[in-house]
Amino acid sequence: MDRLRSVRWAALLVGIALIAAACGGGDGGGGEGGTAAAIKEGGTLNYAADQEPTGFNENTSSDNGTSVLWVTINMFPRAFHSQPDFTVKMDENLLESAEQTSTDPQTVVYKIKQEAVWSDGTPVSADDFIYLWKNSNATIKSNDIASTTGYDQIGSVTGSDNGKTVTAVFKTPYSDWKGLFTGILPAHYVQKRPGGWNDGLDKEPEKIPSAGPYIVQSYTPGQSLTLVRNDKFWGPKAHLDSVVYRFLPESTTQPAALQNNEADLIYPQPQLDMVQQVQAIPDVHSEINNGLIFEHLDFNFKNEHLADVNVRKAIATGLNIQDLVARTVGQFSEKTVPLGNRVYMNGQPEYQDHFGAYGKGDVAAAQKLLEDAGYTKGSDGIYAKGGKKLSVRFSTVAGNALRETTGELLQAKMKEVGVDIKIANVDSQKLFGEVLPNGDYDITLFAWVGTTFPISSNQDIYRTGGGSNYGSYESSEVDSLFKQALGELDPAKAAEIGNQIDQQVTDDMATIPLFAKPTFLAYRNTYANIRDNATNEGPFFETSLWAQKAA
Amino acid sequence: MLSFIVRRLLISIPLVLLASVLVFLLVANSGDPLAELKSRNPPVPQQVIENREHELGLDKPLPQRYVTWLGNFVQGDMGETVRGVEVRPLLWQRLQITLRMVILASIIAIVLAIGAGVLSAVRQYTVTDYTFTFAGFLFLSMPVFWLAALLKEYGAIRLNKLFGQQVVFTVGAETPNLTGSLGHRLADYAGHLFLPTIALALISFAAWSRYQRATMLDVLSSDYIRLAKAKGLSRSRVMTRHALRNALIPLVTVVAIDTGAIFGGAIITERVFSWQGMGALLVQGVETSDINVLLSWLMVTSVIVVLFNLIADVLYAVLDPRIRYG
Repeated sequence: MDRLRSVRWAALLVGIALIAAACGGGDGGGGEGGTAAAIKEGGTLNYAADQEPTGFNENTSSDNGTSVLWVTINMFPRAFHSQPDFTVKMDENLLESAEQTSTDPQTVVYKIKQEAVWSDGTPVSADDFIYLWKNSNATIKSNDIASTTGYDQIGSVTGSDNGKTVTAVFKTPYSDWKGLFTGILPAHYVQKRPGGWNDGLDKEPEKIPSAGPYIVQSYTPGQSLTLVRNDKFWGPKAHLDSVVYRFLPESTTQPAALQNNEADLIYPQPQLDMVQQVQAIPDVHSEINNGLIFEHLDFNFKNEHLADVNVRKAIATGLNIQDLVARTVGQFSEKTVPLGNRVYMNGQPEYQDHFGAYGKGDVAAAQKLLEDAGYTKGSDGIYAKGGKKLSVRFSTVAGNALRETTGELLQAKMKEVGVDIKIANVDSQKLFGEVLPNGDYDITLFAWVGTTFPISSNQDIYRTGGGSNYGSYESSEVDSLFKQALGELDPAKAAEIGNQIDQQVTDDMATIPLFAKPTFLAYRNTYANIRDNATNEGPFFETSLWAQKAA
Repeated sequence: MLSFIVRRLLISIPLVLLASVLVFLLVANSGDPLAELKSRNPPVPQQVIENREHELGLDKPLPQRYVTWLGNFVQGDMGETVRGVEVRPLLWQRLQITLRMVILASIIAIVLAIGAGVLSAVRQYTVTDYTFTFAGFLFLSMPVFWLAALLKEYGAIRLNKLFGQQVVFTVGAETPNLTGSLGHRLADYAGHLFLPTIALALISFAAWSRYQRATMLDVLSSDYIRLAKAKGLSRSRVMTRHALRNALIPLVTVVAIDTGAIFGGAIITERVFSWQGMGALLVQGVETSDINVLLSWLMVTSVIVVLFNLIADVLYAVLDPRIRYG
């Protein structure tokens, strides 16, 4: 999850429905899953959190990681929620309806429930929507914003019907409109706080009004945060009295904590040892599902060798992705398969495999591509052109075993092909803070986080000059397709264009998609109604349903 | 004795000041605390970055920053973290957590180390000596995370099953939202303290006991011990008044310096038991290039180390009158 705060999390709660239908079922574990069970009211669940929330305004770039979202999702309502099957669903607690009433100009009308009220008694109203829009549309220059995408295309947001109807009129069509108005803040409270939008929610979280099933009761930095049931919540009441987020940053401590009854639920990045350890614990249900975070290799187009599409295709052709999966995540996740699309994940209805011709480990075909590109094999087995050896650097996060192994497998396979790979791994902060933004790499490996809104979330990665287009990929066709897709209000047509985008990126071989990283959920089977959700909302999207099983 | 202590204290002041200069230069040049903010994508507005620079005083020249920082630090103002949290209460909270672990562990380790070291020396090349030697080298060579894993399995999970209730804990310094009677709370603290204390104590014991054995052997073979025995002094008097007292002097130095350093946080021990102490704070500070956290952390630990050196000097003087009067 090292790219949590990358671009796209909150920013892009825009369009896709990625990966394989969050396949339920457990790969292991001793108990029953989160199926319907007799429950009892009350009790506490202790969640072992890898990361402590950095703040409480998920709409800022400082706080748009899951560590924040998984807390605030219980307090700040959102117009639409991402579901485990990667569809989106209107928040029926918050809204009566959310409808696009016109396409020219595009107009969306949200009807807020009359009874919707913040925990301090202030009604949830159009003021909250307007505050979020005004602070996210890039007109306030001092604002730290996770993403302006979509909000900057809205011309006006107005309230009527005593503030219970919100009308958003777009300046230009925006197909991913359901990804907007997430993390709706209590405007009346934030505006009065010192620090306002940027920092106003950072201190005294127990005072923040909630319009969700839970509210912060206490927060001890470095130790724990406790949510208790919000008695003013107008929707179905939460079954549990409280949910405690215990901060255990060293994820290897989590299995023992689970076994020793100090944690009831864990949701870490899976590693082979950890999965095996948890699966051996009696009375704990565990499951591995396909996730939305996918690993990929990025080429830097500024490298003289990699600027040649044939070289990029040779690498993609010679690489054996199936073997790579088997030697890494495949060791504990049978469901993980090579990924053939960067925009839509396998299992999603819109998914099309555009990568089937590559990644099969075909060394001869890879060598032919290099020879066609004018490369000749040297006595050391490495190809060269114009006296320059085909030698490139590979950089990923040092210390991340999975990625380091991937790099070594790439290096070994490319040696067979005749490409010299020099491993130049760096620590996480340096990779994401310097190496990628400065384009100081040849081939890099990291993850992108898919969302249920793929078009807008991917635009910045593949369009010319995009902030996340670290490899300087340029394609006027892709740029044009993104514009078309974002303006296309028919979801089926937008998805068609989305697939055209991915096909073009494959034809240009700008990146190599590898596989989606699995998620790993485990909890004591004395609890019920806990479901994984591989979108960024995680299992926390329906915390109010979590309950203790009846004895 | 008082003048000795005052003299030592006066020497410590310029030492701490020098440390403050070094610490400041080290931290100020160790990285840009706003690097993460600046590298965000999409980019954070320039005004946000400038505001943060101003809040942290990064827009001022280095000497001015040092003077301002030192002036504030002396008055107890340690500034804010890059996330806008006050550093002083944060540091104090973390120090208390570390103290809880370190004090008890150090006491246990000292007692065990002296006992084992003396017994080993007195009964050199016997089963007792070999047993303590084996134990010493075992814990000396055992990585703390491995020791922690064993302790969690056998000292917590299985033990709790045996008792049929939660007695020993594997993570954290206390149960969140702890309420109840004083006895209940103390039991909870003790349950959380149990494993990290044992881990830390065993590791410190391993090194210290070897040290104690070596110095004790050295003393036992000295002329004045032979003389004391020849004078007909009882064995216990020779051992305690003459041998042990002198053999403790080198250990005092080692223990004082080690303990002072441990106050800075037993980083790995804290990590594997999820204790948010000084060690964890240092790691967080380094990861986020949080200058105020790093400066305060380094200064506080510098003062503690200087203080423990002072304690070592005083104990030296207590144990060896020649130093006191020298």
